[in-house]
Amino acid sequence: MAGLDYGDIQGTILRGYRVDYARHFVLGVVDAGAARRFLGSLVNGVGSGLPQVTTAARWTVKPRCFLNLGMTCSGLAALGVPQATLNGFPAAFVRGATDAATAELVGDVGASAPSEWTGGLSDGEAVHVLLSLWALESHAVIEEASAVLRAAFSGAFQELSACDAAALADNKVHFGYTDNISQPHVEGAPPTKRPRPDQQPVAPVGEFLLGHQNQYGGTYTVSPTELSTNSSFAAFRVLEQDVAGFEEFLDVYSAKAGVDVETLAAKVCGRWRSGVPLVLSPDTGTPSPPLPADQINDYDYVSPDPALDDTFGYRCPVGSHMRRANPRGQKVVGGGQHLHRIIRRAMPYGPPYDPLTPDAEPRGLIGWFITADITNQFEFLMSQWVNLPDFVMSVPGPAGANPVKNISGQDVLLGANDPATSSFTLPSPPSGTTPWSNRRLTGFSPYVTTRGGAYCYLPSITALGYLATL
Amino acid sequence: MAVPTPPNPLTLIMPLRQGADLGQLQGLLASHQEAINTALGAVGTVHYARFVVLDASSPNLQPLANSTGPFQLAVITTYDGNFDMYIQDFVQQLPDVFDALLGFTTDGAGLVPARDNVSQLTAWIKANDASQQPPNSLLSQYAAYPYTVQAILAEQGS
Repeated sequence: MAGLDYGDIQGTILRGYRVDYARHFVLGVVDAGAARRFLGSLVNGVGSGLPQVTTAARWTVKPRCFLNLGMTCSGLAALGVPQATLNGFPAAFVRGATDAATAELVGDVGASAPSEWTGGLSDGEAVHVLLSLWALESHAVIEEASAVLRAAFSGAFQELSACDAAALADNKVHFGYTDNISQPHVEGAPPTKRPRPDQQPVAPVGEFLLGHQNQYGGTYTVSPTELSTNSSFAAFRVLEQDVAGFEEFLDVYSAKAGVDVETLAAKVCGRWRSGVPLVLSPDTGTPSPPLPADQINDYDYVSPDPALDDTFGYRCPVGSHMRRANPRGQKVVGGGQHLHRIIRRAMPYGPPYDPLTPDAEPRGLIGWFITADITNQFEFLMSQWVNLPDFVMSVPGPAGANPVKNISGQDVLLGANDPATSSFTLPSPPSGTTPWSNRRLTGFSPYVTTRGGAYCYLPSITALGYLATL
Repeated sequence: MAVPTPPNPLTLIMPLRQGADLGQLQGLLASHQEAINTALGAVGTVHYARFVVLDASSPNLQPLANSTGPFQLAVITTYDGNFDMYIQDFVQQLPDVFDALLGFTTDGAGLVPARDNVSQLTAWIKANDASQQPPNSLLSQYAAYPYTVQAILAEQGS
């Protein structure tokens, strides 16, 4: 396989930036010509003092500030891309995140409906560009870069909102889980400094970049070629987390389930809040000896070795968040357990929640979910695995056990979870004279609410140059 | 017991190109029947599926001896869930069969290879699925049982 042209690819697609601060601008075009020139200056303004789009090229000096961006379909139109060209773009992207059919499909309903979104994101037609800045050193670096960018895009773009994010201590997210453990291994991507084997096939780069072969042996493309090769798509998401509500859920429902709080937290997620996966350590989040860092992702849910096999979800429930979002080797309808991958680039926003001084500050997770095909990856995950229990294939087991019977409802962490129908199954294996049995938790609410979203096209550097000179 | 999830109908009617060789088509389907059955099992959402050859020149659409058509190949199934979402995974199971069948049609040859044209294939299937178009989309259907293939197999211990 010929090497990828890293310099033509937006960095966040292939590289996980190790950063602690972010700011996401939501922009609307006010002057198409000025907007196009501004975009051009982000790729040909080296030396001008303007931050440049970060590419996947190896850096010799780590950038102080990283910059990547995407455009919605209405954004491309506002920049002057002809309708005939946009008609050839994927249907989901053209529909957009605020479309009623999209919202219904991915579970952005009720309080998560696009009409409730903030930061200007509820008006999909007016949202044109999402521009993200990341920095490791300090928030001040973000502010410096923002000042320069704001001066530069004044008159070209209107700033609808800017949402800041900041890492919590120890790679935690607001619900207390350890994040950033698992990402797909992508063929041809820059090698990672901390390899973590995951027993999954390496994903062809065409799952995350247009113009390269994908897992199906095909290639996702758009026309013209300048907009296609090395570009991608993403779902930008703002996910508000109700920490008090989730902690109350854990208190109340752990009692109902007859387990302790940390066990229930682990069961609904798939990992202990320490990051240790249930499959490798079903009884404790702090195994002794500790799990080596490079083994924390080295497992599958199914195995020919009975000592390692968790087909029925006795260690990691079939309906847990991680097992739904990535079934690994578990058999699913369609046969696509390894075929719907996603790259996640998200960080917490809002201050840490202190139960001793409760507040109503918005807090959650914000960032990019990157896919070469929004429908087959993001929309598939949300509609078929997160929000349904029907995707599991029958595997008969002892005493009538079956993974099909060991899942119900929707993902506790990400599902729509109408309390009238919400359900989470905790399977228990047969033991002695006790047959296989399940406990079902019902009546809980959603603890994650979608507060914003946008389907974006992530242009290659070539595509940005092309758009700049339309 | 499983949550009731009534299945959905597919009545895909693919117009075959003028001069399409029915014998060749039958041979293709026969030689791939085992692969097709394996793929349907692996997909796991199809309750029943059959191919039906129709003849538009015949008053009751049944192929007449020595007829030159025009013919259609119908694919009639009952399946669980969202068909559109699974087309790509389905094509993955049988890429050559999809491409060969599309080659027999009047206007599907341009979708070959199917794996490069999934969204267009999805739209083409929808347009040719009589169950998704009025008036058929407005007619109610009967289901003897409202359970998915996998729920039934699980209850059977399969």
